Amino acid sequence: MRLLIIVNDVLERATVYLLATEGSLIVQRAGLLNLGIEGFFAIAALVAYAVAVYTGNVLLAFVAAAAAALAFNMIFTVLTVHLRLNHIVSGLAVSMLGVGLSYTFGTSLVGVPLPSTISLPVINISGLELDPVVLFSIAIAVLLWYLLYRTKLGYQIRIVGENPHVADRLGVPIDKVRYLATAIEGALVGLGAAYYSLVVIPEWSTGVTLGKGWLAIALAMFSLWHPIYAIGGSYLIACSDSLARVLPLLGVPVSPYLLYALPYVLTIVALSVVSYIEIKKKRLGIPTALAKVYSREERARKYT
Amino acid sequence: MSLALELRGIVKKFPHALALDNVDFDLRYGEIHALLGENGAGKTTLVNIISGVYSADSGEIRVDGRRVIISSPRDAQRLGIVSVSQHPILVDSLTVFENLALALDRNPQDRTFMREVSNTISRFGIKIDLKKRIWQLSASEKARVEIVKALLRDGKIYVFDEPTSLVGLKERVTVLRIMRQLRDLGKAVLFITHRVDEVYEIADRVTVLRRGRKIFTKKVEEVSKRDLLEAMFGRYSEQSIASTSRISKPSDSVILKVENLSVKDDIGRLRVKDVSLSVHSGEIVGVIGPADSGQRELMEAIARVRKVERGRIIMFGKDVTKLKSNDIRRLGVAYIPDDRLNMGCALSLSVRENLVMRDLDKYTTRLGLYKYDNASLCSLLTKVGLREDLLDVPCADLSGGMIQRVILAREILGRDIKLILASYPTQGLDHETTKLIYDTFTSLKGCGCGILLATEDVDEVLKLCDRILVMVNGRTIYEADRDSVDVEELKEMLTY
Amino acid sequence: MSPLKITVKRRERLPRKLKALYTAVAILVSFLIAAPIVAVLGIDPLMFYKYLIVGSFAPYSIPLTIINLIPVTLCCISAIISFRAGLWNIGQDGQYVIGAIFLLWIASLMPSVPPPLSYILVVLAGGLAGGLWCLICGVLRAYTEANEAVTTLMMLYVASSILNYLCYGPWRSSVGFPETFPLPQSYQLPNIGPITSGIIALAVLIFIAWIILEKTRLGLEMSILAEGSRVVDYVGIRYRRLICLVMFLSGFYAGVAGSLYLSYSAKFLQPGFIAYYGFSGVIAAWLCELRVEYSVLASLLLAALYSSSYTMQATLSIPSYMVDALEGLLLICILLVHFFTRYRVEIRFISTAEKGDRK
Ligand SMILES: Nc1ncnc2c1ncn2[C@@H]1O[C@H](COP(=O)(O)OP(=O)(O)OP(=O)(O)O)[C@@H](O)[C@H]1O
Ligand SMILES: [Mg+2]
Repeated sequence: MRLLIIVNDVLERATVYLLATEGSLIVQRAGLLNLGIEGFFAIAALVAYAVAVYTGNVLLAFVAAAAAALAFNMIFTVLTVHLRLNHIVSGLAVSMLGVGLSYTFGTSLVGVPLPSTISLPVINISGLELDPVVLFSIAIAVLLWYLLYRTKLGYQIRIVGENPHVADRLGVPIDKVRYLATAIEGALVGLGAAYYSLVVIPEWSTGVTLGKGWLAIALAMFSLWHPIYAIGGSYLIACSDSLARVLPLLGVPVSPYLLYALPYVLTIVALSVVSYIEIKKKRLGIPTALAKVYSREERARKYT
Repeated sequence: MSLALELRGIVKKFPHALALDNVDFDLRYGEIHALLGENGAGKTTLVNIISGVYSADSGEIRVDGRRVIISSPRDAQRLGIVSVSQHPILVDSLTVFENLALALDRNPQDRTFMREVSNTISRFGIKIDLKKRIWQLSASEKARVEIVKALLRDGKIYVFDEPTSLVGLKERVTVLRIMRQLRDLGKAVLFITHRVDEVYEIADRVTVLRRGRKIFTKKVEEVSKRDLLEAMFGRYSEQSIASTSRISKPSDSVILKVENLSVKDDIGRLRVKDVSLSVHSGEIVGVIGPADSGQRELMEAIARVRKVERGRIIMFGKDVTKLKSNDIRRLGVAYIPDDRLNMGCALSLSVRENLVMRDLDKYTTRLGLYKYDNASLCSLLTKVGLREDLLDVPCADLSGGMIQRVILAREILGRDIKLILASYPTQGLDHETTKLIYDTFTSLKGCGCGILLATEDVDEVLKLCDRILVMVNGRTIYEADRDSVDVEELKEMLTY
Repeated sequence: MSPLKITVKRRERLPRKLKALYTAVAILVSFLIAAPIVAVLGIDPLMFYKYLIVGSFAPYSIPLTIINLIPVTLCCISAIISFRAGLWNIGQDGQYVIGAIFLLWIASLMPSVPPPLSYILVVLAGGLAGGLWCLICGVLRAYTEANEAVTTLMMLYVASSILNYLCYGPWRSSVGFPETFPLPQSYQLPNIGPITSGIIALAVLIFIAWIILEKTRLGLEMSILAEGSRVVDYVGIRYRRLICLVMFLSGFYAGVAGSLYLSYSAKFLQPGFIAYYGFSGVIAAWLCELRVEYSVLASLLLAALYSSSYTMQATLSIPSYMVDALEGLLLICILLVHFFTRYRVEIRFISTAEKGDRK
């Protein structure tokens, strides 16, 4: 029985990571390193919670969250694609703005419970609870795989991230491709955030989402930017996340505060190991232009 | 012949250069129009404006008499403008077919399209394996893919930027043939070159640019070679390479000895296999071969910027196989890398910093602070014919030729040089800069300096080198003194 | 197709004065945008502006502003050091926490070290710990190419959970609050009049950073490092070693920020010790265009924001996260200045006929 509770917990948490990771993966494939994810994750989580509280409609809450994240993400896209500004600093700006706004306006929702109408239909397979979002996140992974490796748009996304100079001269509309990628990212991360605040921790408190978005970026990296591998990565981190909560319950004498660091430590280790294997293998076809600003008329750019 | 393309009053400013100053230009269907000019004259800028890479500050462009605005490479493609670049524009990780499909805005997974493409290719009589990935191809195969790409695009106006300065003998012939074929099909062809002879070989008309201004456009029959050179450089100086015959007999002292060297390239393939060579003081040794036969990797390994897999490198009797590039620099070795933009200079740093960066020891006081005197740096610049006020300009804003001059100043001038490693030092350079490099080399040789030169240019080795090594597929297959070289046999090996 | 043609062109360097003017305008604009946000929260924007100024620059607020200025400036320099070398250490907050924790530990082991020596220990302990913490990411970057922007951020969360662990666990000293024991008296930097003497340490550290970046060969090597590995090999710089050194230095400054703050202001640790000075430092670094000589000026703005936010929380009950939103806005506006000082935007109207012909 206890095991089932843990498994269901892992399933829920992994779904959040998976959606966010798939989102981050697609923009990184297009060569953008979007640290702003932390910001619109927070915004979307709040929007979902607020819409749920005021309308009681789950579907609406999810849609609103996705739309809000998508819209908010456009700030980053304008800054980096059109204004050719540094990805890392632009992302940090968007993330601070998002986190700041979310928890500023979220203060009035702290302690307000969700209405009872907020629940997802669940398929129960001998105790294993699968809701539509869990299944959707897996489907998305497969879909993104198809998009990236089987469609023209996918090829375009990949080469924009690998070598924007070449992509541009091959006639790929770089700006459009990047807009599309960030739009997909916004929507997916928004859904993940909504799931987080409505299902995983169904309550609102200040600072609940912190760190989740940035974790997704690292997850996408150590999944080698591959949508299917990302499933494995997300479930791995979800397990460690769950472990942190479960171990103290089982009476293992470790401080829960230390265990809180577990997913992060694991992520750093996994990222390093995978990156190391990568440089040994000298693999091609990864977003080598990640976080590099592309400006058609300029040969070299530094800092900005 | 009707006008295909007309440019009126094109102006393009860059932060440190007026690249094009009110240039008018026209191109007709059924002609090959050559564009000539010294380094930094603005040729590439003009071509980039036509193909949508840069946008002009002012002026108008007409295609078939209609005024158009070209704001991206995609726009240019839609207008039927096809550009073939000096460096192949291809994605390494994808297959040949995937690259072609993307260039034509088709889905690379489309099987029927694949059949279509292979039909077209065989119709033009070009052999290429569509399923190979680009990184697996040799330079000449890549150049072929680049041409196939242009042909498939089926445009009206073809633009070639220095198609002949990178490729070896064999591809050069192919490129020239393709250009002629295109002209005969009634297309408009614009092509940039630094070789005046090629203009007479295939062009119908020629336009000369100098410092962003158009000097003239003339029919090729109506202009002499002397006029062309004068227009390009503002003065006329005879090609002096022929006169640089062996000044001093190479003395017996070996200053560079390479024994059984094996080197891998960036993606881990063995590119240099068991190569041995030596350079005496007062001698110029040329390593020549078809494009991409491992010369670059060989030079990089000797210059100690690439790892040696097996073998030894001995300089001045000292084993340097494990040393770093700045260590051998202290021994009196200069290295002119082929990758000027990414290795030869720090693009976003100023010319001043680029001049001092290889000699940080020299410019560092005992406290670790660095100090240089501007006057000596300025004099370095003037010696290679650059203006002193360039000192604070970032290298990214210089043209390729100017960057090469900066490298030359840093590597060779103002120091005591015993050995020069020069990798493709004159590639893409104009007549004057080439001459500067040849003069420098020959005068240093006279002072007992040894030079190892990697190149693909047969004329260059024949005129400059005392000894010639031919490298094919990572191995040296031929070695001879210049006087005993059979030129025909040499050319044969290079087209192999 | 739209009849508008918008082109972005690079421009010549702007005169210094004009740039300063742009920056000033950007700062004002970001504060103006804040007004409607505050209004939505049900607070009078005028009051907001009043406390914004009074809370930071009124005579009685100045000491508080200076207390905040020190860690912000040090984090700003930490960011400058790594950004100059093309490395992206953005986990200053983690290094800040570790610096403070290490100092507290050292001090608890040797509580009786006499003042001048103990003050030096404050700087060295914090710097060393912060530097080593950041060096972990540096080593990973140098030897495995793990993205340092991501790992430094992850390490921030690791640091913060260590802080929580200590505050709730072994170092907890009070029953009521999760607080640690205080720093021994001899390690607490005294005030000079109303102002903390930490300012002296700050001045020295800024000067050292300026020398390193502008005057030594290390500074130039760092700029070359930012250019990519090919040219680094060519110049003969030991690539990996330099990455590690830069990351250590960068972490050193952030670590000192933590230990100094603990020593002159916080006195003990608690979960709220992370005040996100690190992110403010990154903003300041961008504001001063990675020039150490202007870092204090840039950091002053951010520090002022901190001190007014304390006042505003108390008087107007504005949530503390409002500062983050404001900082985010400010950073976006500064980024816009960066764009407009580098590029010109041309908007032309064109007839549709001129647009490329579609097949
Ligand atoms: N992207 C750029 N940024 C800044 N300046 C540039 C840029 N491209 C070209 N320039 C400047 O414009 C001028 C013309 O350069 P361009 O590349 O057109 O010369 P070119 O005739 O093609 O010379 P080369 O024979 O060396 O290829 C040069 O002074 C160069 O420094
Ligand atoms: Mg050119």
